Amino acid sequence: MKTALFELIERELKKWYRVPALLIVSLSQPIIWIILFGNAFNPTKLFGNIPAAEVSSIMASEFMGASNYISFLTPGILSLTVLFASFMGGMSLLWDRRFGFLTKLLVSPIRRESVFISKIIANSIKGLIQATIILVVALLLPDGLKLSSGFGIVNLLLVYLFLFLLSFIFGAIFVTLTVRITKWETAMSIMNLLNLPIFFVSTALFPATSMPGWMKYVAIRNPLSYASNSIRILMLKGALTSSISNQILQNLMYMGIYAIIFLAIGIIVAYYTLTDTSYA
Amino acid sequence: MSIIEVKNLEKIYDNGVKAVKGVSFNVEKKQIFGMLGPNGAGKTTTIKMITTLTPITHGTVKLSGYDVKHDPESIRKIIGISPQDLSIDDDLKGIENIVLTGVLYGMDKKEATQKALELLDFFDLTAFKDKYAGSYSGGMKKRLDLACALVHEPEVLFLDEPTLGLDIQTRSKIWEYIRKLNKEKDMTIFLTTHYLEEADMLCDVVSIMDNGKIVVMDTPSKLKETVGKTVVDVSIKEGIDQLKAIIPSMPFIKENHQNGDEMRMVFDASLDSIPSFFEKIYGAGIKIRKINIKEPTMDDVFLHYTGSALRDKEEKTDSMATRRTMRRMRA
Repeated sequence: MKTALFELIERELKKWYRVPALLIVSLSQPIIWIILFGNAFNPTKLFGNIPAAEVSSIMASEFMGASNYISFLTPGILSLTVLFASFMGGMSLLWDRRFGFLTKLLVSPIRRESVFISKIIANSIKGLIQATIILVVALLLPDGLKLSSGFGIVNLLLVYLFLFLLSFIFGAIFVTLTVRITKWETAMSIMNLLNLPIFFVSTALFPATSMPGWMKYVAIRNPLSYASNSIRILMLKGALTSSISNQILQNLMYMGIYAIIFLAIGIIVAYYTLTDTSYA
Repeated sequence: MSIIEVKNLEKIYDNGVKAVKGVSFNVEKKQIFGMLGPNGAGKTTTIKMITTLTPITHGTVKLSGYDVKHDPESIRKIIGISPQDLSIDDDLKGIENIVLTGVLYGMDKKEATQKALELLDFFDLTAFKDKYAGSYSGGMKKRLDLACALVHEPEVLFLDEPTLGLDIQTRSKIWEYIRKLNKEKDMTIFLTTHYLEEADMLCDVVSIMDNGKIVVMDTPSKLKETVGKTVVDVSIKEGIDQLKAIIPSMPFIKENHQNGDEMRMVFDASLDSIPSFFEKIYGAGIKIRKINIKEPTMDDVFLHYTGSALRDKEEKTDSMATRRTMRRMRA
């Protein structure tokens, strides 16, 4: 069974890397966000000539001491990239159903859940590869991402851990949705509907300080915020002091709980839905 | 020995639609068993229940001794399916499709590759093994789909409308493969079709399904015989009176009508009636100008048992439309 799962993941990846256009398109959106949004919405320049001292105090208090907005934005965009990749993973289950490939999986003796799990894992791999490319682009940009001097290998591994957990959470959510939805138009509109609020009601783009109370309440509990904030801390604060480590561990725990809950829901839904193809 | 035993099988969908209303039949080992009926008759639902794809509402299905309800895992290991809509991945190469399927059935990659090469050869696809399945023609895709269904050497092969939407040459080619599988590999084959001549040409036993029920089941020739009338029209050059005189000596001629030097006779469907008719004619020295024999067809059988010609039932328009679009996209 392990080889079957492995083979299914390999299939997803083959379908992806054999179409380089797909990778380029999926990379272009986050890169556009960084370059266009990152430069246009630079809060340090937004209100004209603010004295340099005030700028750095705003950056220190609201933007985690980032030296420019792109440095603040990039961790959010990395999380966003993973969110988009998960979204595509959800759609791929729908295509499998539409093109009949799902039938092949369901008549074979593999476990029903491995259909679901293979999608999520393949998703995470794609998401992490895309995030890596975007990270490199952000670092190479003139006046781009500036990492803290204390950023080390442990920080980098933790960044990946957060991205991985995030892709697991959203992968589980989107694939669970498409397990039940059979029309791709429906899935498309539901996912678009979900994407924007998930994205805006989070701290991926701005700090939560400016949000109204209710929005803030939701935003700080959004897995996207946990991931963006933690990656920000890891990139901008650098050295893992005990208070930072505690913060990171706490966030990891929240993300872990989300991942377990959505994975469990997904596996149960996948098991029951895929046992009866009259839904398909 | 019966390899498939179906007893009082029923399917009621969540929306209350009764798709299959108590169906019982047995399929013997090494048989080609055909299920014939219009779209919406319940054939696909029946196949889905037997192949563990949708839960059984009532009744039992046993396949090679395993109970579908209680042991779906064991069933999945011993059956191969080529569903109505293809189940291959267009973005994978021909050989990759088969190998992946093999691995899903627990084979290791080496073993699956070995078997894949063998099957590609059997279905004359070796030259195209490294081409993407998306570039295959409709008939090649169907063959690849069949190859995938066979990679784990199933005991029973299920073919749901194996030649739907294929052109005539491709269809007869697929028939050839199906016969070859049955003869050379002793495979039991369960197929559904709404092509009458397909059932006639291929199947050892045909069951006709209509409105969720099996209305009749027998060998194609017996079925034709029971409903069959053979109509023989002869145009006589010389000796119409002799013919009239010897008709009473041929008990298989049920009716006759004369029109000038032409005679229309209705024969019963016994197999030797036509040869004995000719023997008598030559014996009496009658000279024939023209003869036209119309044998009973599966159409007549179908008409007889369902009270209507083979027609398409209203399918969920939505799923029909999608399927059509998908076919177009794949073509």
